[in-house]
Amino acid sequence: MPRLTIDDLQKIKEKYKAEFSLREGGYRAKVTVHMGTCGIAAGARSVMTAMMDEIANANVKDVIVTTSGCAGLCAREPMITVEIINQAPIKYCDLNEGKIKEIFKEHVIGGNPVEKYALVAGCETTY
Amino acid sequence: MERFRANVMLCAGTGCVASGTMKVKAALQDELKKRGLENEIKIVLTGCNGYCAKGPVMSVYPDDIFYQALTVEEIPKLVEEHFLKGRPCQKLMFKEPEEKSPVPLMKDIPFFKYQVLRVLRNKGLIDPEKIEEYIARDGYQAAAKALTQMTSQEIIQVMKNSGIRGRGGAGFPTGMKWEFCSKVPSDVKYMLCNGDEGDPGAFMDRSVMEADPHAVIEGMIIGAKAIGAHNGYLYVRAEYPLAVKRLQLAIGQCYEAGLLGKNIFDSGFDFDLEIYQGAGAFVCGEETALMRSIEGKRGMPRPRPPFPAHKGLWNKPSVLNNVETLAQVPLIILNGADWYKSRRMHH
Repeated sequence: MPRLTIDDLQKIKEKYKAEFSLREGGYRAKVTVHMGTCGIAAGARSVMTAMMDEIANANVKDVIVTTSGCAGLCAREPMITVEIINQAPIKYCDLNEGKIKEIFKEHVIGGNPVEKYALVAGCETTY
Repeated sequence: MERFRANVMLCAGTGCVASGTMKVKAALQDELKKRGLENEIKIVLTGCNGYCAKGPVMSVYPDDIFYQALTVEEIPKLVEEHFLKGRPCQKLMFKEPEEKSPVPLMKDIPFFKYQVLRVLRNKGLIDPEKIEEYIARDGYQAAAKALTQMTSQEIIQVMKNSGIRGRGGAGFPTGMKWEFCSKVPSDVKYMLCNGDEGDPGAFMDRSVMEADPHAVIEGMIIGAKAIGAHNGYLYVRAEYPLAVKRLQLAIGQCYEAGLLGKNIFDSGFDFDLEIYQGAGAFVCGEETALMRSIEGKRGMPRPRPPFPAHKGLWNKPSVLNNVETLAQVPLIILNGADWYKSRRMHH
């Protein structure tokens, strides 16, 4: 590590922001991927990877991705729930990687739910 | 920088290491790899989380799920259920005695719920062996402020106004101690830290040194500037090998980053710091005995006066502060005396 200046302290803090928003809970949006056996069989892993890639590529630091179990509607998997803090969570169904790109752009970043893919507003707790 | 969707903060304090953290870590790593999750879930070894009785413990973020009494045998199921399928493992959660249902979230567990963390602000939240993680939690901002924007008198005034008293137990006002020493003219002075926590069953200083070594070092840098010292020793008992190891690593990182040594933050201020390991004598926690011990003599207390502020280590003006006191100094400098005062107990 080179000698640090006072500006470097801020730069390091910025660089670690994504990781610390996970730990400290200072995130703006949470995406829950439903990863029950049904979800995994329907392709939830690639849906999740697609979402992670979108987040990494856009270098967004205040969105977290988490997983939960079967939501009970196995026929409509893969599903995700997008929750912007202080707004109603929206559940999306029958997803694929292309839809994820759209949902990321419109809802996660833009704040507007993508109605055509949405199933319902609301979510079970994740534990 | 890699992006993970979860951070597993596995406690690697002395207590949890003794009850098997390293084996659990290896099992976790293997299992995550087997499931292809190694680029999604990150394992971070932290300092003492505080719940040693049920070690090894870990908390999972962003979920904030707390697991206790982990065993290697449970890991495959835990990884599959929680990290793959998103179903936290109830069996490993905290349970109140006499209660059937577990308490999944760390913030709901009574032991943690009422804790307001200040001196232990980074425990369990950072990897104590990585300076970047300390910096990410505002580390070294206070040292930067003290070295580049404040005079020695200003630092001392903030410390006096804050009302902080020595956390080692004697409760002497820290600001006053620094002021005495700052007023003694001398080319050579010493800033010292007492990490010789000798009282049986007392581990608060060890927790700080293991979980957040940089906080102690930052406090010493600020203290050194206040009293005008350019050399310091961290006196740590040899019975704390993990604390010694992490402090040693932290000191090395500071030298590399220019936070110790010459011209810190281009302020013109120099400070050199090294560790001196105590050899297991209870009495060396007493300040005059501690200084004799660093001098290589038998650790015997001597009568005061003269006080160490005038004649301390090698008869030079010296200040000795407790680990916990020093770890609070950065907070006081950053947040101000009134902030600290509003939170202290009234004497």
